[in-house]
Amino acid sequence: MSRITPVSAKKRKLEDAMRGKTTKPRKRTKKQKRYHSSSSEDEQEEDVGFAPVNLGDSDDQAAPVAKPVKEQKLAKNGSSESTSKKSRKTSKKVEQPPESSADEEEVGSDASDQDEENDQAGNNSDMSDDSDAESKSTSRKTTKPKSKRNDPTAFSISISKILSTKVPSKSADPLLAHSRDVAQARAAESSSRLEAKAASKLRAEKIAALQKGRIRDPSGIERGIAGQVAREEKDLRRIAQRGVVQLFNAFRAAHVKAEAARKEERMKGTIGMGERERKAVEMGKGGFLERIAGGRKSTATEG
Amino acid sequence: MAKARKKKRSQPGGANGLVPGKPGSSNRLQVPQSMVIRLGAADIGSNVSQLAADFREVVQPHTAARLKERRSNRLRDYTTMAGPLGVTHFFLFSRSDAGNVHLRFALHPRGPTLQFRVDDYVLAKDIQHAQKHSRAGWKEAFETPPLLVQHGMLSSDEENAANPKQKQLESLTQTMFNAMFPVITPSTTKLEKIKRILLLKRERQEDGTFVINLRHYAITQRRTGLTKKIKRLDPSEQRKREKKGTALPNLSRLEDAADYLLDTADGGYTSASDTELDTDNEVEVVQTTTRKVLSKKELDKVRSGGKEQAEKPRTNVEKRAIKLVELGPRMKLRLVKVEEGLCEGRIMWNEFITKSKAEEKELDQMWEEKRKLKEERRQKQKENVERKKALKKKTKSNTADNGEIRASDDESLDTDEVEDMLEDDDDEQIDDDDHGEDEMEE
Repeated sequence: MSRITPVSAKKRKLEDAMRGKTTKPRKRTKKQKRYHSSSSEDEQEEDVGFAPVNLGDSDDQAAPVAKPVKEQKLAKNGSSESTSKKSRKTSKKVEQPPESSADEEEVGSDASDQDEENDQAGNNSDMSDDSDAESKSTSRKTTKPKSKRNDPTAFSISISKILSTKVPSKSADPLLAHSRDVAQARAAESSSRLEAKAASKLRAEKIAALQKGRIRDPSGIERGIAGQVAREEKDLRRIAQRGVVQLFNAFRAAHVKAEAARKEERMKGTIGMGERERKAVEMGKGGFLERIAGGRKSTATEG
Repeated sequence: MAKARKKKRSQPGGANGLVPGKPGSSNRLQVPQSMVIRLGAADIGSNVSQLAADFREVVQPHTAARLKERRSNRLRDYTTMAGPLGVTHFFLFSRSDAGNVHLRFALHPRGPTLQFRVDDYVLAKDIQHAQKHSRAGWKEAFETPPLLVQHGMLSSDEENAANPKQKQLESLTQTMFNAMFPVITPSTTKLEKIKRILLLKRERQEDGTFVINLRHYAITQRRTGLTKKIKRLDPSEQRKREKKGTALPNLSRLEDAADYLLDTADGGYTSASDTELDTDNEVEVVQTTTRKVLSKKELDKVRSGGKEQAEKPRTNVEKRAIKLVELGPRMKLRLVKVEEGLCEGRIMWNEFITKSKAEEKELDQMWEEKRKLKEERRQKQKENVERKKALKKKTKSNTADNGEIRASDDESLDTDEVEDMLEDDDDEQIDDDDHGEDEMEE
């Protein structure tokens, strides 16, 4: 990955560096425009080691870790004051915050942000007007903070601070895994899902109970027993048909018989139309009964 | 003055004597009337409701076709109304908690009740959907009761030898179903009015269960022995056609009618399918024709004109092929229980439970006791009534003498009566059935 830079470029770089124009080492990773940790620019802080933090610790246990942070804050404030005194041009802006920034961390970090920006601005202004003394710029260069971007200790410090911040126990847990609300919501969700599942199952059961016994495809194609159903239906239909044919034939036979009886009565000379009719009906009826009862297998409703 | 409201009949058939006359009247018709009821109203589910509605169609026309069940209605409500309405048969559809559909077939007022479990069923609409040519116009088919065909209800004697109870069960079922519809007689029933058939076929089961398959068909008749082409010329066939669009064939371009009748290009009379006879479904039907009523003058003329012509026998017998079209519903009924009364009383048969001899004896004893108790109550009631009647007579005769004493007398009598009523409340309920039965016999 190392790139061989041409000698001229190296030389120029060196000269620039002597003038206080340091080029930042190239960064291959994605550029992060702003990174400001709460830790100050001073070297003093470097001796504050990374205090390992147990993630599982509760807020109460994190309290002892929080102590050094306060000290750091104080130290930081002091240093910022010193830097502000040294820089002439930006002093107005810089001098306003320090007391107010002492109590809250976030505000403090903001102040430090401002410091840095001011420093940069001062630097630029230095570059613009060359009339300023060299000595001043060099003296400033020594106090100029080292970039935190590639400083592992800075990162470790800031992360340890973040992790060790004391959070009021009343407020919602910033760790989602610990949050009661989240747990509740999750439980509610899962229980509601369970409920929905149970409800849908119940509904399905109810529907199944309502549909029990009902066959939706009479031909049995969907059930895959089309052949069997067709055979059965054909059988039943044939029986019914035979029954109907029997009835029709019985009717016809009864009719013939009644006709014959009527004729016979007339020949015999039975007096009275009603009488003759009665005889005919009787004859027909007898025949009808016989015929239908004769079909032993199927019994139709008969007279 | 406002016009008098003309009452509309809520049930069809009231005008033409199908509804029996008032109970006890001599001209009461012996037509079995039925009620198809779904018990439990809407809770039973739409499927079973539809099944009940379909079954109502089956037992048309002597049924309460537009019966509306309410949630609050109990069986008791229907049975109380059955007597005055002359209802003899009940079909009760219900659904158990397990989802099984039950059909109870009961005779009013005395029972017995056959309880079937509907193993599976197909609704009429499903059957109609499945048919290629679903026809809507079966309306007149429901104007007359169907023909009932029962198949294989009775098992052979050697089968019954082992189980004598089975035989009773079979014959009971058969007779109950037989009495479901009015009797068909050739002298009074018109053949062309029989347009439906209800088939009950008992399925032979190895495990001895009593399973009946129910099918419901419409009967259609088709003239046989005629080719398609001649049928197209027949005006009576034309009239019967459902599609009026295809009218008479156009013969204007033909020289001779034979060109049409014997045209072999599209089948002609040589087509086997036209003339083939399905002999097993063929019947002879006497075609009823309208005969012109002749005046005396015309009659004389005919007689003098040619005697042999008048003597010639008229043969208007037609051959017809019977075809059945399924209407639905289908049901597979499994007999589960037989009860003595109308959905109550002694259980005569149960498919799942068989009692030992001792248990049977015990049960018989219980029923005997119940019967005795009932008898006792009836006796008591009768005595009470008679006593009250006598008392009334006495008081009446007393009042004729002097009115003042009567008031107090009457009061005491009233309270007495109330007490009696309270006592005999349930007795009267029991007596209801007997009244109904008496009416039936009359």
